[in-house]
Amino acid sequence: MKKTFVLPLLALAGGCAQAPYWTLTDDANRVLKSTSFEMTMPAGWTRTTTADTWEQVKVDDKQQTLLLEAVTASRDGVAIQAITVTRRYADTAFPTLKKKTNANMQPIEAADLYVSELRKRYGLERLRVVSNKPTQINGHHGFELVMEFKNDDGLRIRIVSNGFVDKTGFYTINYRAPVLYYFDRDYADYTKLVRSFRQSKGAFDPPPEIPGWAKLFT
Amino acid sequence: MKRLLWLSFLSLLASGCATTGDVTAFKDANDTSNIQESEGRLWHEARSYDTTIERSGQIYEDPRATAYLQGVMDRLYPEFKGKIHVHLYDSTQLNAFALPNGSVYFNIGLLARIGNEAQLAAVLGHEAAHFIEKHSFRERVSAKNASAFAVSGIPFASLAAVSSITGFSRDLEREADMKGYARLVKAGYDPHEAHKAFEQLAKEVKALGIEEPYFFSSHPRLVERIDAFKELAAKQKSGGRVGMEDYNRVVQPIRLEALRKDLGQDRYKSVILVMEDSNLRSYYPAAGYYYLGEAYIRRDEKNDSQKALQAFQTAEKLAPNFAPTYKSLGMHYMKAGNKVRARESFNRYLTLASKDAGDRAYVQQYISSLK
Amino acid sequence: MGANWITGLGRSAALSLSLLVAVFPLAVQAGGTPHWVHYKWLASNPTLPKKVVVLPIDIKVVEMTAGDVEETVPDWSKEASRSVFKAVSAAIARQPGMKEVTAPQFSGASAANFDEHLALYKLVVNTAVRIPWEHKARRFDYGIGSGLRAVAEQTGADAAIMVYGRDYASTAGRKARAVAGNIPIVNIFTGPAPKLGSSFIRVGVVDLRTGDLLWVNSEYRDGSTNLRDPSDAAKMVDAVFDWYPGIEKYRAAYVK
Repeated sequence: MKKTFVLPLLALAGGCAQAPYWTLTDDANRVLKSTSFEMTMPAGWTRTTTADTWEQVKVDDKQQTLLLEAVTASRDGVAIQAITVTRRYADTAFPTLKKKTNANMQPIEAADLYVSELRKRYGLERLRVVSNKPTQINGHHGFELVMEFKNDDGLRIRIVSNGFVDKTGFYTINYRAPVLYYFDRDYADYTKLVRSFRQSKGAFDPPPEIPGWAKLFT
Repeated sequence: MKRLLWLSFLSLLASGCATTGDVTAFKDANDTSNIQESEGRLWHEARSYDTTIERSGQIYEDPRATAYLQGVMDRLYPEFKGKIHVHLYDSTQLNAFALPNGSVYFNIGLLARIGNEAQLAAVLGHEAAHFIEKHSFRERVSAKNASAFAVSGIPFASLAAVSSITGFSRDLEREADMKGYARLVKAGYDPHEAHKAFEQLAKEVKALGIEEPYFFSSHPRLVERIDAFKELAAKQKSGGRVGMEDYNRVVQPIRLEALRKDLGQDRYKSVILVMEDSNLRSYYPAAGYYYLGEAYIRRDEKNDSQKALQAFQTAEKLAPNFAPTYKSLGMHYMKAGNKVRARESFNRYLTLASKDAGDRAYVQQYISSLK
Repeated sequence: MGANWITGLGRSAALSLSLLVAVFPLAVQAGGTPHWVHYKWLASNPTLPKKVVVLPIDIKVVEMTAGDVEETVPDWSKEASRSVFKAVSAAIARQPGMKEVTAPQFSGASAANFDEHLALYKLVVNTAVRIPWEHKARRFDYGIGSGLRAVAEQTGADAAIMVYGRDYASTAGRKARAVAGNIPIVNIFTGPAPKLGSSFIRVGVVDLRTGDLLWVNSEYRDGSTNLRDPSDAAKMVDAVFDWYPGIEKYRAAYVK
């Protein structure tokens, strides 16, 4: 093969090497540091190596690509249970509702909007609020929502969402698992993660650009 | 030889293609036991759908209201008693649908909107006609015939495509209208009420810019159907059962619940549309003003904050024991810096709300912060 | 977070599933196994279940027409469930030291409880057999909780065998279209050849007292397998049980 072809190919191959999407949490990497937040991950859980920085949301039947910062973790596979830690920017905090957050938004208001957003986005009219209480997350006044729904097979799924609003946007720490067996088994791991959550200085930096290639999906 | 092969191939493709002309309507309850094997498959799918709806908690549990709707259905179709089962469906979308096995689901959103028993009978009569005339089976047969020769092979896989969940073809919807209307008249209901159920839907569909098929709003269009019903009714004398009091007695609590759920689904525009209409508003309990206030807050347009306050104050006056109003008033006064009134309102909320009311802890926190 | 974290199928999950498409064949090539064994069985002298109960089998037969209309056929589904049940009973009889006991009748609250556990079982098994994380294969520790313990008490069984599957059958018209779809020029009029039938079954052994998913295997076949046919059902079930308990094979493949 001619050199003129080999060198660019080698360069391409080198550029293709990427960190794996998932990382198993062990004692060496318990603390996950992202731009806007950091937290201690539960041992034995697998999490995204780095945060996702954009998401696709259907708003008024049009697919939109929106900025966010989100880390997902699971012990047995995200279809069974998942913890997601998400920061949404103020202007796109509740995209399907087309609502923004502001620094003066009360936790109870954010919680109400969040439930409506979940119902609308996922077509889950039957999502039921079991409880909604004020809480503290890293010194911020926030909410703790407990919600439930049954999937089409009749399996009860429970979701706990701890969230708060500040001038940098809307933060949620969510835990979803079937009520049967899994929810109680892993709930303590979730509460420890919530207690370890810290907002970082990077949260106050200007938001990044959505990568050009991600916009191709829109 | 080549011609024989080609004909054999075509006949294989077409094998099993029944025609819709072979399909005859059910005569009575006993007749529903005589169904073909292919119809039986549709019934089986419908039963699975019933199970899914029940398992996933989508039935709205209100035995009194369910029994009432069933009673109206049995009055319309006495010869099918025991075969057509009416259920309340926990959705605030303006819809009702029939499955091929005689299950009829009526959304609480639609129940909240219509005005009386005669209008209810118009909708129930229509839905049951879909079942009796075997429209699902006819659509399934048509789908199989059409797509056997389609190049692109558009799938018609789901039951929803052949039930009234999203609407049948124009002709079948018209047939259901006519058959349902005939039953309405035979059962002694006032035929001049039939078009009113659709008029309200047409108003809401237009005002909210709804494009999704809302209760057969697209096949045929609601306006066409309103005109068709008016034409039919013009040939009939006024009079007949309207049943407004009985209807409102049963449906009143569901109306408030529908407003609450509408808000929870971000359908605040529907709440405003209903509560700003003096005719419609008269159907709803006074506590509906609280949801109107919350809807204005959600809409958040110019002057909505003031409108919300007025709505809450009206709710306070007309429904003084409705706890959530005081929480919202307290929030308003707190944001406006009026600590005294905020505390008063929050305390009133705590007095009226149940001990396990969801927002109690927040309100207690607000009271502490206002000292 | 991708969309749909609420239902478990977000971008991250979709990505991980797509990774699996790449990962799984590699794993098999590398000496992996199609079955999964709970880590407790990898301990020395594991106690294998002696008495097992076969819980209600869920096999659906779906007929696909030339025009891609899909219909579940209830009578065929019952027939296929019966054939698979017989095949599973025969496979149990061939396992040394294992005996089948009669399953209880579920009704009322026990039926609702069973239904929810079956729903959880399907979710767990579908996730477990596709998980691309090597550490989960090395330490396979899935379960459905101890909510079916009452079945153990009623029947004396140690474990339950839970089976579900699907059989997609083509009509004659669909098969004709498949033939025509492979003929140049003719296929301009008939369209490309549609996919013909396929079948899969997923068999799990669940400890009734702890809910541990002790062992699971799947079998998938393209083409003309007919689960209503007792011999076809037996072939698929036997292929599944060929890997039971397969502890040494599993240890060799995954535990280093």
